[in-house]
Parts: sequence; C-alpha cells; structure tokens
Amino acid sequence: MGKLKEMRPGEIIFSIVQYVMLIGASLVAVTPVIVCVFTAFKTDTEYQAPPR
Amino acid sequence: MSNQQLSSKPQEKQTLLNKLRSGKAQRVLVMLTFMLVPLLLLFVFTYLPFIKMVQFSFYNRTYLDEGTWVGLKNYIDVFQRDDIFGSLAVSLYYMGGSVVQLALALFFASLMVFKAKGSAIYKACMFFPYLICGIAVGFIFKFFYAHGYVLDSILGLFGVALEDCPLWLQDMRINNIALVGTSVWRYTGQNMVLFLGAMMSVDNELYEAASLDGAGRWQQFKYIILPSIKTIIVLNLILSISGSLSAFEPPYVITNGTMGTGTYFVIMNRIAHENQKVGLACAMAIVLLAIIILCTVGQNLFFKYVFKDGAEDDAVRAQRKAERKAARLAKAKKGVA
Repeated sequence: MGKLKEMRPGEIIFSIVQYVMLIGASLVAVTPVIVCVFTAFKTDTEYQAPPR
Repeated sequence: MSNQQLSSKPQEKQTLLNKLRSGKAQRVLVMLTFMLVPLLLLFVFTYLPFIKMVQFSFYNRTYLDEGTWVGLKNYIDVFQRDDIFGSLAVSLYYMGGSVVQLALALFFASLMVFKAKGSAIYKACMFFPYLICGIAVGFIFKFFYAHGYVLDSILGLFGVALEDCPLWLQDMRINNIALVGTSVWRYTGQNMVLFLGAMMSVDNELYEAASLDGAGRWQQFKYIILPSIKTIIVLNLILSISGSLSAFEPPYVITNGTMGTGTYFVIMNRIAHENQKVGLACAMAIVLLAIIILCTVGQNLFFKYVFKDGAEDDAVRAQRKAERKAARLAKAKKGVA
C-alpha cells in the first residue's frame, strides 16, 4: 500500500493497463486449449449438444 | 628419355607424399572428410530434389509416368488460372495478420520488460499455443468457430444473441479473417519471446538512467528499446511474411480450402496430390519461391531505407575512426623522420 502511495498517478494507470492487458492476453491464449481439454472428457451426446 | 628425367619422377612422388604427410595437408584432409558427409546429405536431400523439381516443372506428368515436355506452359498456367494466382490474394490476409501479430508481440514484450509481477506465468501462457502442433490447432479452432459453440458462447456472455453471430467459417467476408486469427493466436507468443530476448539484452542501467532523467515509458520504448531490437524486428518480419505466403495448416484442416479460403499451398497440394498434375505443382512451387525471394529483398531494401539514419551513423563513425588512424600513422611517421 505504501508503495502505491509513492507512485505517480500516471504510473498507477500504466500498471493497471499493463496487468489488464497481460491477464487478458494470457486468457485469450489458453481459453481454446482449456475448452479443448474439457471437451475431451465429454460424451458424444454432450459434445454434439450445442452449449447455447 | 634422358637419365635426368627418369630420376626426377620418384623425387616428385616423394615430395607429393611428403606434402600429404605434412601437418597442413593432414588438417585439410580431416576437414574435407568431416565435410563430406554433411555436404553429401545436403546435396542428396535438399539440392537434388530442388533440381528435380525445376526439371519436373517443364513437364506435364503425374507421379508415376515420365510425362511429356511442355516447356513454359505450366508457368503460363500458374499466372493465367484464377484458382492458382487468385489464391495469392488470400495470402494478403495472412500478410496483414503477420503485421498485426508482430505489433501485438512487440506490445506485450514491451509491457513485460517494464517489470510486472508474475511475468513468467503470462509469458508461459502466451508462448503455450506455439507448442501445439498445427494440425491440433486446426482441430481446436474448427470446434471453437463452429456455430453456437465456444466463440458464440463467449460472445453470448457479453449479450450477443446467437442469431446475430456470424457463421465464422462459412461467411466468405470473414472466414479468412477468422483463419488468420488462428495463426496470430499461435505465433504471437513466439514472436513475443524473441522480442523479449532482444529487449533483455539491453543494459538495465539504461532504463534506470532514462527514468532518472525523467523519460516516460513511451520515450524509453522509442529511444532505448526500439533501436536496440531493430535487427530482431526485421528478422521477425521477414520470417512472418514468408510464412504467411506459405500458410497451409489452418485452411487445410479447418475448411479444407473451401469457400474461398484456399491458400496457395492448399491449392498446390490439391493440384499435386488430388489432380496428379505434378509438373504444374512444381511450377507453382518455383513461382512461390521467386515471390518469397522478391519479398525478402524488397523488405531488406525497405528497412535499409527506414533505418538509414542508423546506417549513416555507423558510416560516419567508421570514417572518423579511419581518419584518426591515418592521423596517428602520419604522426608516427613524422616522429620516425
């Protein structure tokens, strides 16, 4: 918290944007693979039934 | 024959043997022996098939028959047939995608170079797609883009109705963009790691000194990072553009090149293996090689122009060094005199 107080507003905004971007990109990179792994455990009927 | 000539022959033999026994000759012999195997392998598995491919491109032949000589007809067909030359237009999507991919990779690498907690996890997550083989990526995205499945479900979470979701792989206006997305997804992490490696080699003190002087993130990026990694940027761009011209796996696995998604390689594969027109496929390969060489040379010239300032700096520095050396030599000569 003390470190946060030492930071300038511009640095705080940069850090927020930095983490949001990095977490977002990581999620985009792993989501298709995670979905694929979960699908591997489904039965044919579950797989063929659209989720929506 | 005179006696002198008869006696000189054994002497010559002896000198040849002596030469062969000398250390220098032995070194050359060892060098040649070690080089022989790799050179032979290189010739048999790389250059010989290439020479054969050039030869086949002048024939109308299948895999089994000898074929007939047709001269330049195959090359003319490559440029005249819409399905072949038109498929190069699809490669433009992949070229555009490669530029986006490099921009994203540079952006994320720059974000990571400014210390972020857990950067190893983000790096691993983003590099992970590159470790999956192309065919598996194709299958993952075939399911991902299917109507009503993963992507549509994710969009549904943001309030997009299923009826409003486009047919990602069937709609000819967007299917190539969707396929390019898979390539961008797969290779961004790899490019990012390459950029990050180059950025890490920059001395940390430079960043510290710059921030002490009041330089912001953007200025640090513009004046420290970018000039230090220009070689890697050029290398990545050349690799990405040549890779985009030879894109194969996403369209082949996901759509089988149908609905206007057939890239040059997919069409070449169809012509060679399904239509058995080996000569035409070989001509296509040669034309693609020529296009890739032209693009690479063009890019090199472009970057020489873009980074002209840096090259000029180097030239000026080299000239000054030469002048200093000449002055030192002149001074030394004067001293001797």
